[in-house]
Amino acid sequence: MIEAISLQKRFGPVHAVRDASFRVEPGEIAAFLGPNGAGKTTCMRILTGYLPATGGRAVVAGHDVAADPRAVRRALGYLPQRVPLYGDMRVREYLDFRARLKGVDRRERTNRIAHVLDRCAIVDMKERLVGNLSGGYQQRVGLADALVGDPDVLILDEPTVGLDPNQTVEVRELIAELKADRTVLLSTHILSEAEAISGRVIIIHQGRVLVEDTPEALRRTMRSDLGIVAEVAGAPDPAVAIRGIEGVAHADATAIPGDDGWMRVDITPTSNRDPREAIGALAQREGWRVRELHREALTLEDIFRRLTGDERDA
Amino acid sequence: MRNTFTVIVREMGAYFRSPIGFVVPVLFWTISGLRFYLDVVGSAGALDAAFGQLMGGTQFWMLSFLLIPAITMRLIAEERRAGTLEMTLTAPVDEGELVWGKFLGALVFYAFLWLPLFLYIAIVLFLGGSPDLGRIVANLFGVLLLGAMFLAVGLFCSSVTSNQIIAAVFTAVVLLGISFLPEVARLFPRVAVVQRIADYVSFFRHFGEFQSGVIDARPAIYYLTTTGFFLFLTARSLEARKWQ
Repeated sequence: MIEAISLQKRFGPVHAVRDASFRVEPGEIAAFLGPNGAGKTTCMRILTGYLPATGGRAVVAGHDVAADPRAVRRALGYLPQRVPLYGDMRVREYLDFRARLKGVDRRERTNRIAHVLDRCAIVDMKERLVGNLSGGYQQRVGLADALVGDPDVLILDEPTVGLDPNQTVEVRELIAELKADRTVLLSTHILSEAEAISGRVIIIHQGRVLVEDTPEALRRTMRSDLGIVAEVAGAPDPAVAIRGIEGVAHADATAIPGDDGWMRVDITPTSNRDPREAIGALAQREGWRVRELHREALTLEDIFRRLTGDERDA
Repeated sequence: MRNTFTVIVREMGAYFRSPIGFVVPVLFWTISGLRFYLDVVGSAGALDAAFGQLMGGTQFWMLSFLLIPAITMRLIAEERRAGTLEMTLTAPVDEGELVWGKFLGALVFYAFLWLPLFLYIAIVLFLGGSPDLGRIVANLFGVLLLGAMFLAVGLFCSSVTSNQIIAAVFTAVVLLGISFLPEVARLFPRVAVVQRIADYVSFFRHFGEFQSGVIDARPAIYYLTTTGFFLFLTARSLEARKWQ
């Protein structure tokens, strides 16, 4: 379990974390979502006891981070951003070193190392120098390191940054497998990633937790005012016709230059309505040709704009 | 305690995986071995003088000022650069254990440099000489205490930067600075206390006692407290991230 109660962190005049409260339960994967500089890494460093908070309280695995940092670290697997590892050691040797530091019992150590090597699919790499491995493999060694102490709580700072698409999928699958009996908190600045792996998204912006919810609920509340785009031909004035549909707040048509007869229509629906089906039916009735009809993708910027009500910020 | 041991083992390994673990011993053994050979050949029987040169002559000091920074520069600066400090300090390890482990690892490596001493003694015995073993032991004791202090200074200098070169230069400057203190103090002849403090802080004078074959608690205490002081500063410097 991870619990943060109005965490604050100030670096001189800079307020990196202003007011962060959230909770992650065992068996749950929560994603910290926010742009670079939002305070994700600082929050995580506070949770690991690496940095003390200026204000507020954090409890990890039942121990207060400020009062009993050693107990917290014993229960914790942490993967810092950019995965700093000792490049001069061999993978197995490095994991053995880390397992010793984490107090893994001598008899269990060999088994634990074999287990995490297998789990992270780096058995073939165990005699290689960490420094000679590719970024993807180093990331997995970092994950193996985080897991070698069999921790109850995992904190992973941007675990998929710098990986190619295949590796990203592999690492996401690996993380998803881990959640069974663990508390997992990871950070990302990619919305789709947060949606793909986490059961809960904690959106953080300028050091504040803006919202904390399941990806589905977020999507439901956020999607309502997303624009719809249609490209049609054979319609004399599509915007006027579309404006007549129930659930459409506004529509504007512009000719697509160099594309004879085709027009792009930007449609703003009224809140909580999805008029796409009605637009399709209208086009069919009127005999328009349609080559595109889609709702614009939800972006992190949309979420921030909506949550902060600040257009400039987006 | 167990963590400290784990760090010592890792640091020992790191020396022998890096060029430092090869270059430093080779340089040290070649230069001090040559010095010893020349002194034995040229001494016409005064073999104790050869040991005196080996453990306190000009070459010894030059090598100390040069090689100690090479031994310590990587220790923490490289962890700061690579970010591995964050990894280590978020395991159940505290700053003190890490500093002790790194220091003792460096000290073991430094002691390893002195292994050929036994060979030199054997050679002198073989040549029919009778080295003053008591004096050699006192010398070795002094050499290790001095080494401990130099390494602690180097470790501290390595902890305040993420650049190994700066760490090495800083170490050499601090060590040379301390060695100049008595001469600087002589510029203020009217303030006797300045001279006394400077003389006490300088490591040369204390070293002389070991060289004459005396194991005295007072210089030993000087080296040990100075070592402890710099190790303490090193641990504080690692904790400084918390007070920014």
